[in-house]
Formats: sequence, C-alpha cells, structure tokens
Amino acid sequence: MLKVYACITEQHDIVLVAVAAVLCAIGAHTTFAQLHLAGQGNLQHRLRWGAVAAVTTGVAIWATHFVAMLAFDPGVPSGYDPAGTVLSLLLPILLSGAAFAIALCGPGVPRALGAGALLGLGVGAMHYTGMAAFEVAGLKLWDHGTVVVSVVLGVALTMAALRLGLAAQGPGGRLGAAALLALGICALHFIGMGAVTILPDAGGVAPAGAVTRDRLAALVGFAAFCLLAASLAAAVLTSQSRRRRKAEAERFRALVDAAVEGLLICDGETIVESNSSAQALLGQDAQGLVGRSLAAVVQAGELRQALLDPAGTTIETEIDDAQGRPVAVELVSRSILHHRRPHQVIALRDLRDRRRAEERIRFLAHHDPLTRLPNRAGFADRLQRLREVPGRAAEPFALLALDLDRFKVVNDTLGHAMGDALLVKVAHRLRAAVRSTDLVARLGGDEFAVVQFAPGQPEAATALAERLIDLLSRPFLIDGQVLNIGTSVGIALQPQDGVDLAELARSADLALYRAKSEGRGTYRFFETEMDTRMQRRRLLELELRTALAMRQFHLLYQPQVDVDSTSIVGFEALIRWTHPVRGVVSPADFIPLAEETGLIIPIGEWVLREACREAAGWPGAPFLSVNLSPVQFRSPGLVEAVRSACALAGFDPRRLELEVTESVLLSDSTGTIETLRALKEFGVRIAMDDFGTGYSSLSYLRSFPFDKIKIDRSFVCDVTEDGETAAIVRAIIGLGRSLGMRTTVEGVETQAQFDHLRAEGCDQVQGYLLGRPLAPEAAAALLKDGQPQAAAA
Amino acid sequence: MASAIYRLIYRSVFAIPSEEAEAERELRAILDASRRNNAASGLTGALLHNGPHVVQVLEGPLAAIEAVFDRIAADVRHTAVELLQFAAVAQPSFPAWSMAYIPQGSVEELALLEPMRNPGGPEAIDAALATLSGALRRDD
Repeated sequence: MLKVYACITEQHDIVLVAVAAVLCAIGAHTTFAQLHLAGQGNLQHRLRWGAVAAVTTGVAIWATHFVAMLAFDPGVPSGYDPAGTVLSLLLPILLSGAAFAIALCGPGVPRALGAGALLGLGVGAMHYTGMAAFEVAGLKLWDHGTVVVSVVLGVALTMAALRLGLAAQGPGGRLGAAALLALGICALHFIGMGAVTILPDAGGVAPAGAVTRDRLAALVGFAAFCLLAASLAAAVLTSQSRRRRKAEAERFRALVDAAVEGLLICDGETIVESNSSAQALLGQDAQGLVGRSLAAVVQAGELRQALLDPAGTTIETEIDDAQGRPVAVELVSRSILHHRRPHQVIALRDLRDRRRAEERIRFLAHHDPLTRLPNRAGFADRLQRLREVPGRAAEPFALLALDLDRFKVVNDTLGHAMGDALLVKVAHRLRAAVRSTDLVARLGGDEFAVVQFAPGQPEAATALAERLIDLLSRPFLIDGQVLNIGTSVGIALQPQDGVDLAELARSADLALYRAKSEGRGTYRFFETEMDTRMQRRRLLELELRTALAMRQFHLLYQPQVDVDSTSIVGFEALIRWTHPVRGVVSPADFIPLAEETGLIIPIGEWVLREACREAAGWPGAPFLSVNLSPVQFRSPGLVEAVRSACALAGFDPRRLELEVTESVLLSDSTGTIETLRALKEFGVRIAMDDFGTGYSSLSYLRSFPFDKIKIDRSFVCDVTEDGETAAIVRAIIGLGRSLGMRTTVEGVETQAQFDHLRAEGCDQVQGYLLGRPLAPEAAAALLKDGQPQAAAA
Repeated sequence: MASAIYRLIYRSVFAIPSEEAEAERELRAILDASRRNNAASGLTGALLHNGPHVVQVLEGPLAAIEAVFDRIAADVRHTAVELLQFAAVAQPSFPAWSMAYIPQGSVEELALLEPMRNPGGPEAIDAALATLSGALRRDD
C-alpha cells in the first residue's frame, strides 16, 4: 500500500491524475445513464444502447488509463506499441459488451454480479495489455502479489457497482454505482501501477517503432473526453425525448379514453389501438382487442371492406359484443396518419338508447296507453302486416266492431278514473275471449275492434260475438262497486262485405249501428240493405243542407179556433219542404234526420224567424204556435234565437206560443226548465204538445207551469165512440182546468167530435174541420174576412 | 277500513267434460288450484256444484276478491255468470276453509242449492250460509 501511495505521489503528476479521475467518473456516469436507457425498451433498443454503453465504458477505461499514464513519469524514455495499444482498447469494449449483454438480458442479482465480474476483468485486461504495450528503455519488474490485489479489488468494486447500478430506481443509486465503478477503475490502475518497478537501462533509448508518448496520449485523452461527453449528451437527450414522448402518449391516451364514442385504430385489418369506450361497448379489455382482426368486431365482410376504405364511411348496423349480444351501432371510419403511417380510425357510436327511445315512441304512437291495446293506427298497421305474411293475404277474416253499452253513464256519473279502470278490465276480457292469432284494438273512447282469422264463417264470428257479449255483460267489480255494462257488436266479413279495411270498417259500423238500434247487447252481420239505407240517409242529409241554403222550405199555418166563440184565435206554423224532384216532402220524413244530425237547429231558427216575419202584420193579432225540438233545447242559443226572431220582425213575444213535447223534459230537466223559464220571462207562452202519448207523467205537468196542454190527435178519433177514451180526454181537460192550463185538441175532423169536446169544456180545437194548413197570404185573408168556414153551426 | 272483509257469491254454468270421472278430476284440479291461490291471498270460501251448475262463495280482502272475480269473468269456460252477492260482511262464514267443497248429492248441497238458485235477498243468503257452515263444522 505504501508502495502504491509512493508511486502516486512520487512518480505521478497529481494534476493529470485528477484529470484522469474526472474522466473516469464521467465515463462511469455515462455508462450507467446508458444502461438505464437500455433497460427501458424492446430487444432491439436494448442491443443498440447496450452496445453504445459497451463502447462508452471501454473508451472510458482506456482513456482513463492513458491520461493516468500521461501523469506517470517512469524516469526513462518510453513509447507505445500500436498493436498492443489497439488491443488494449478492444478488450475492455468486448468484455464490457459481454457484461452488459448478460445484465440486460434479464433481472437478478447473480446476473448483475456476473456482469460486474466480467466488467472488472475487462478493466484488468485493459490495464495489463496497455502496460504490456508500454515500452520503456529499461526493465519492467512486476510484483505479482500486488497485481493480484489490484485485479481482485477492481473486480470486487465493479461487481458492487453493477449490483447497485442495475437495481437502482433513481438517479441517486446510479450516481453511487458510477462512483463505485470509477473507484474500481482507478483502484485497479493505480494499484497496478504500484505493482511495477522500472529499472532504467543505462543509455537506453526509446524502443524502435513505438509511438512517442506525450503527444499521442494527450490527443487520445482529449478525443476520448469529447467522445464520452458526446455519448453522455446523447444519452441525456434520448432519455429526455423518451420521457416527453411517454408523457405525450399518456396525454393522447387520456384524451382518447375520455371520448364517449368507442374508437378503434386499425393498421390494415389489425386493431392496434382501442379506447375504454370501445372496450366497454364490446365487453372486451384492451388485450382482447389490440392485435386482433377487425373481423372480431365487425363480422360482416363487406362492411369491413367499406370501413377500411381510405375514403371513410358511415354505417348503421348491428354487431355482436364479446358475449354474442347484438349491439346497434353507428360506425364512422376515417383515414389518419398514425406513427407516420396511414391507419383507419373507426368510431363506434352506441345506438341502443336511441333505438329504445324510437321503439318506445313507435309503441306509443301505435298503442292506447291505458289498455295497451293497439290504437286505430296500430290496428291498421298490424292488420296490414299480418296480411303481408305470404299465404295470409287471401285468408278470409271477420271484423267485429264493438261499442260498449252504458259506458257513458259510468263515465259521467262515477268519474273518468272509474271509466278508465273499467276500460282496462274490458280490454282484459276481450283478450281472454280471442285466440292468440286474432287481433284486438281500442279504436277510441268505448269503441273496440276484433279481427278474427278463422275459416267457417259466419259461424265462427257468431260464436265469437256471443262470447264477447257474454263476457262484457258480466259484472265488473271496481273498488267495491258493481258496474254493469254490455256491448253491441257489428260484424263484417272479408271479402264479401269489403276488400280493404276502410270498406270493412264501414260495413261493420253499419251493422253495429243496427245492433245498437235494435236493443243493444246483441250482434248483427252486415247486410247490403243496410248500406243502401245508409246511403239514402246520407243523400237526404246532403239535400237537407241544400234545402236550407236554397230556401226550399216554406211554412203553412193551421187555424186554432176558440170552442165557445168559434172564432180563430191563433195559428200553428207547420214546415213544408218542396224537393225539386220529389215534390213536397212530409216533415215526418225529414225532421227525425234533421234532429239526429243537428240540422234541426238552423232549420228551427229559420222557422222562428220566418213565422214571426209573416205573421207580424196579420189583422186581429192572433197568437202564433211554433214547435220546438228537444234538440234545440240542447243548443245554448235557443233563448237568444227566439228573442232575435221577435225583435227582427217586430213581433210581440206575448203572441208567441212555443210547443214542446214531454221528451224535452226527459233529459237533463234542470237545464231545460231554466231555458223554459227564461222564455216565459220574455213573455212567450209554453204549450205541452202531444199530451197523452209517451209517458204523460203528471210530474212533468208539475215541474213547469205550462200555459196550455195540447191533447194528442190519437184521442180524437175514438172520443165519440169509446167510453174509455172519452174518460181520459175528460180527465185531462179537468186536470188542465184545475192546474190553470188551457186545453187544445188537435185533429178534429167531424162536427160530432167538435160538439163532444165543446160539451167536455175544451178551450180550443184544431183540425181539418176548422181549417187546413194555409199559405200565409190565405191565412191573412181569412183573418180579414172574419170567420172559419165550418163549426159555426 | 283496509281490513274490511267482503263476501262475493256468484253462480255460473261451468263447461266440464261430460264423462263423470273426468269431470270429477277436472273439478278437483280446479279446487286444488283455487285452494292454493286463496291461501296465498287470504281468501276463504266454499264451492258447491251440481252437474255443470256451480255456486262459489269467496270471502276476504276486497282487492283479492276483485282479482279472483276478474279471472272468473274473463274465463270462457264459465257461462251464465251471475253475481248473487257482493258486500262487506262483519264475519266470514267459512273462516277455516280456503275452499270448502260441498260435493254433489251431499245432504248440505241438497239443502242449500235451492236457496242459492233462487236467492230471496240478503237474509235468505245469510241464513243459507249459516246452515252450511254449521253443517261443515259438525262434520269436522
């Protein structure tokens, strides 16, 4: 040890020794920086940076040696053998290369120690081959013990250095390892230098062929320094750019994963990237996608072709996820540059939510939300699609139109909630009554339809209709209440009653109309005759509208005569319709239809206006009777219509007498009675018409103070012969008198009838005996002339 | 009053097979199903039958009774379904039977079928039910 110390202090230039140590330290640090970089990539990368590290390390050892040799003064001329010198450079490069190959091929302490030993041997090999190539004018004497010590210590230190450096996680560990390595190199060198003693050869000269020492050594040292610096700079820059690339890649991945849409990047057919949305959509992890063919995701070959076309495309399709479940997706593809090569990026948009929403909208549009039965649109659609099934287009079927009986009463009296609950139960029973191949729909309100596909008509439809009527006539229990409804059914058969749905539905509706008008709770098949009758009705309705516009109506006036004075006291206005082709049409033929269609309201108003206008200027101011239909009472404008008719004509309302039948009082009597009161307040008189027919309930007479009772013409024919009829007429006249109501008898045709009624105390009479209905001019003339032609006797 | 007990009695003509053994089997099956369902929904009652004529008494919570009747009223094997009684009652007549079966030809059946066929108002029905449940209790 002393010898080594003396060697350094006495034979070396201490400044150059320091330079050698710094060079060694830089080299050692570079070695570990490069080894660290080498450990982070694929095999190719490892080999490349392993080789660079080997060259760096070899050069560092060698340069350290040379600079240290520059600091050494052997005290005799010296030089370098070129071949030995080159060999002393190659040996450490090769041995450190071998060491790094071992170290980089895998982890583990034995590998690190083995590699360290190889590296140490490399350092030793360099030193002693270098020393062999160092030629002096003298004799080199070796102390073999010291040589062994130098090698053992050098190897031990390089082993420790690699053990520490390869396991190091941070730069601190690597720095320590570099220091150990530098120490190992220096230790081997200077102990090795202590092992040699040079005996000068007196008068010796520098060996022939040897390169002069000083200049070359300085040059080599400088070049090695530059090389090491460049190598370190390369390692640092590479490491930085790798870190930057890694951060960029992480940013890119975060962005891609944040995308809601699934993204796949394909290189040809192979998937090279996927984001987390794509993985979630397809039920795969990244490993399950990357590296696989696009065929694993998009099964259809022609779709794949289209997607991989560089032009890009948009496709809506269904693909299977990892579990084989179908997923509705929209696929959008585009070409992009990825790693400087064209790739295809495919975006997967999940359409399942949208499809579900569309499905829901479709369901709502085609179904009644209450009963979940198809609605009118859904029914037509379903039937259409059933008929499009091959072989079913020609299959005959029956269309049953249902209308609930008494449903309106439930709805009006018990409320809509109860009505709705009832409809749900009705739907349930209808479903129970039909077979699965049949079709049930709610067309609206309390209208339902059933389509029955069955051979053997009309028997099958008959059985079904009976079943439906039976099921719906059974009681319904809702919230402890018992509700009894029922249904009427109209049946049309395809093809004889109609080919398309519209025609069949019309036929079934006609049959239903018949079933309802013939007692409800029953069914009717469509018959052609219904159709012609219905067409006649429609034509009549059309003509009635025309008649109103074309002024085809006119009024006649029938006198009403006071029984005692036999003078005319009033006229009843009667409507007539002169049809351009059919001539005069009786009111009995068109008033019912006018009431049904509501046309009675404008017609009634016209009658009021016309009668007031025509009778306004008649001499003697007789009263004027005008008939009102119950339908007119349902119109809110009745009182106003009467008021304006009088005002327009300047007609005194006290001359006006409105005749109503008891059916007016049958429905909604409070509203009706209010209307009657309002009319009476206005000054108009109210007469009960056709009394004795219908219910003739005495309570009607009590419910409103009528001014007059008109006894129906049916009583008049028998009044002279039939004792019972006579008794009824007598009773009504007596009743009227005691209630303060006058009585009029219609339809008086004979003198005997007149005499009888006069004897009974009737107030007024009307009939052919006393005067037929007259044109307005004739009526006015009659009033001017005085008396009616009959009854004076 | 959520816990009110309701009673429903209906009669109907039940389309059962004409062969007697088969009819018996089917009736038994219906009875078993009805007992299971009734026990689950807290219903009690009795079933009388005479050939195809059936009278059934159901007692229990309103919702359960209405549900059973919805099923019967939608069942096309029943025809001429007629509601004889539907009302809240103070006491169930058959609290111990998920569905007491009164077979054809039994003494009880003969004694009670007639008042059920021509119910003379709630009192007559109540009297008939009292006799019926009394007879069943004696048998037990």
